[in-house]
Amino acid sequence: MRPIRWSGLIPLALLLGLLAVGWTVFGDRIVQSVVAEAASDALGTEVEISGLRLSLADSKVTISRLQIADPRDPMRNLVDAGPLLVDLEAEPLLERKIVISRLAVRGGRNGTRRSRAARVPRNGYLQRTLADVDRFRDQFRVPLLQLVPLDTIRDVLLDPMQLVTVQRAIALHHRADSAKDATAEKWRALALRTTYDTARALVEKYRGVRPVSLGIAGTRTAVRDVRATLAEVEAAKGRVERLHRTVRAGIDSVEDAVRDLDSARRADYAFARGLMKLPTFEGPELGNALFGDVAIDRVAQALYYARIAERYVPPGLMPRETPGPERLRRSGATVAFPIAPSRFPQLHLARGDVEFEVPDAAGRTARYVAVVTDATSEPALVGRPMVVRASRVERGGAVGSVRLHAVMDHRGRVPRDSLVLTAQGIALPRLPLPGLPLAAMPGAGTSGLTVRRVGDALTARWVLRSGALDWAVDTVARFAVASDGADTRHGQARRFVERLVVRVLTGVEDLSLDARVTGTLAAPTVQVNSNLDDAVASSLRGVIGEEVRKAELRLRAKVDALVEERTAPLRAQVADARLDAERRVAEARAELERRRQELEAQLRALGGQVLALPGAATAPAMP
Amino acid sequence: MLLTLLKLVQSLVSTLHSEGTPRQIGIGLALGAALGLTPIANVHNLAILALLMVLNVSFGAGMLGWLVFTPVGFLLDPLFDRVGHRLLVETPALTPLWTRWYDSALMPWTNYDNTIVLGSFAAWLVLFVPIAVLGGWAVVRYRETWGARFQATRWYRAVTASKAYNLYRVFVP
Repeated sequence: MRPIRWSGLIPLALLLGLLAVGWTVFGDRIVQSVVAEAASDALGTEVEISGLRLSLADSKVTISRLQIADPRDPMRNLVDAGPLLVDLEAEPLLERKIVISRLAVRGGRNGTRRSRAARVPRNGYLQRTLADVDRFRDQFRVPLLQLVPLDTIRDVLLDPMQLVTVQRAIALHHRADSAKDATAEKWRALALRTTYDTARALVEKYRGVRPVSLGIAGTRTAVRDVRATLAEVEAAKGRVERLHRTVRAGIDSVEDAVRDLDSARRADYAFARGLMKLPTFEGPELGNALFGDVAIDRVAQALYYARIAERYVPPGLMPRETPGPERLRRSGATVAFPIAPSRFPQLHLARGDVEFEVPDAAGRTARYVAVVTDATSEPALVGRPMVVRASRVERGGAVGSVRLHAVMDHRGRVPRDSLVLTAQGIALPRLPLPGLPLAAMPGAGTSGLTVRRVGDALTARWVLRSGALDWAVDTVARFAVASDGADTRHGQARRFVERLVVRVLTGVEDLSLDARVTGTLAAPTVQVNSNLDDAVASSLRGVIGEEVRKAELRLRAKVDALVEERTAPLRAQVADARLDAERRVAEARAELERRRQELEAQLRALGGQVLALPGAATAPAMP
Repeated sequence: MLLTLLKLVQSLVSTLHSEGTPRQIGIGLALGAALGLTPIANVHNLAILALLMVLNVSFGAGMLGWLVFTPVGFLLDPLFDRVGHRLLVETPALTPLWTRWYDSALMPWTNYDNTIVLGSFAAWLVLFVPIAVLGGWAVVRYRETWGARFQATRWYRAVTASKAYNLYRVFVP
């Protein structure tokens, strides 16, 4: 039997012919659909491509229009460009790699309205990047501009139990009570009354008794009894002294603790001051409060575009797994292997020329040109960092200039990115001031943004200079401020402070701002200095400084009163305990001494008369 | 759905009662199994289709194999994924081969670097001979037992009289 069915060649040829015709007719549409879908999946937002023409003979692709939807606004485009011309290299295509020798993009615009709402997945790559950048922004602690008036003390200290001093005083009071009860118990345990009674009874027993009547044996017994009682009295004296020392030590300890309450009081002053939210009028704090947010926004925008680019320009050279293509069956994973040094990278844009328009702060549309070189998925293979240069183009003479130079060096494992953006002689954007119904309008000036990132470490600087500073009052915010608490003393005081700050700021005609961001991506800090800080600080200090000082004195007095309410009785309690202890000890000492003297007198009497008796040589010796 | 079922039945009937040898039917079935077990939109399936047309094997059996093994492919995708991952990522001895293919012309277009494609293709290679042998044996057994009785039924005569059956006859060896 023949292994080959020659008649089968006909339908095979028909099938191949059909495929060729299908490709000729539908190939462009298929490629357009596949590329748009792949780009949408990759970016996480809808990418629309129209008018794609593929010419395999020339290795060229032309696209009439490219729209990338804004993931935050489905009716708006982040990028709207066209026509695009792509020159591909043929040989890498055989290896399923895309090397673009040249990309030309014309008519790029940002923010155009879409004809229909875009399909934006909820957790796409762009949205995740935006969320990452928002998280980066949220890490900064930008102080609020505190212009709260000063009459809020009574609202703050309603609960004395918030104060550490009060809490400790209450604890000491309980401790003193316990010590007092324990001391009373120990006094009872001494049983001094028994000792007194025993001594007195003995003295009474032998008062006026002559040894002759007792006889020698009786006298011996009497002397022995007296000596025994005397020893008991001495022992009682010893116990009294020991108890005295213990009680005194305990009282001293409580007194020391009462004195230590002063250090807790200082902490209570600081706590209450924090609750009061006194006005901010130190330079660095003011700068951060006024311009911290806008400075962080500038850096965050740079970081956003860097994170987008980083996904397709990853650092290092390593095998990577990505989810496979979407199909009816399971996608699996597609593994990318390390490419040999002499081969083509998976994706490489050698040079891209982009023309785009962006509306400036004055509302005019300005044209820009950008050149992107060596944007690649394998930077280590290409051996050159990705560079982006952009500049503003003006027809009919230069009115101002904007220049951008960015480098993404991901050839090694540690990414090194830098961005320098300078703008001169152009209308700078409006800067709203948080906490105030004001926005700064720098007008024409210069602005410079420098961002450098090495691995996780970040340094950035934003400098802004303007000699034509103007101000815009936010009427909505001003109305809200004016009507909020209009009739209260609180509201009036706050408006007084705000009017003062607004008056000072609107009198400043130039702006010099220097904002620095340092730290790491996980723990960044911002420091902003501007000429407005000193102007506002000195005026606030002059007017409000005295009020702040008085407020602080009132605050201290209030804290002192609340603390004194608890500590005065405690000090009295400790003093009473000390007096009571001293009194008891003195009484016990006096009583025991009296008994001792009586017993010794009795002993002497018994001993003297014994000597006069016959056989006195055997009489007991005198103590 | 109904059309697919009808095609399946006609394919089955025509294959079982064709003049093809069990070997031709078995190999045709095994080649068609590739179309069902592996994801259809891949270059290697064009080659399989070409082989079915050009080789002296049962085209009907190939179509039958495609239809029968397509749901099997869907069900076994998790297994194919594991097999593909084991071959692509967890077998260092094969990494130089994959790396060489990654930089070669045309091989990347086969999507061998996808775990499902590689895993299902590898599974098909392993199952090719058993499917071919079992398929041939099943045809022999059928023809020896039920074949003659079924050919006498009215239903069989109706199927074989249809124009679709005439078209299939073009491919009967």
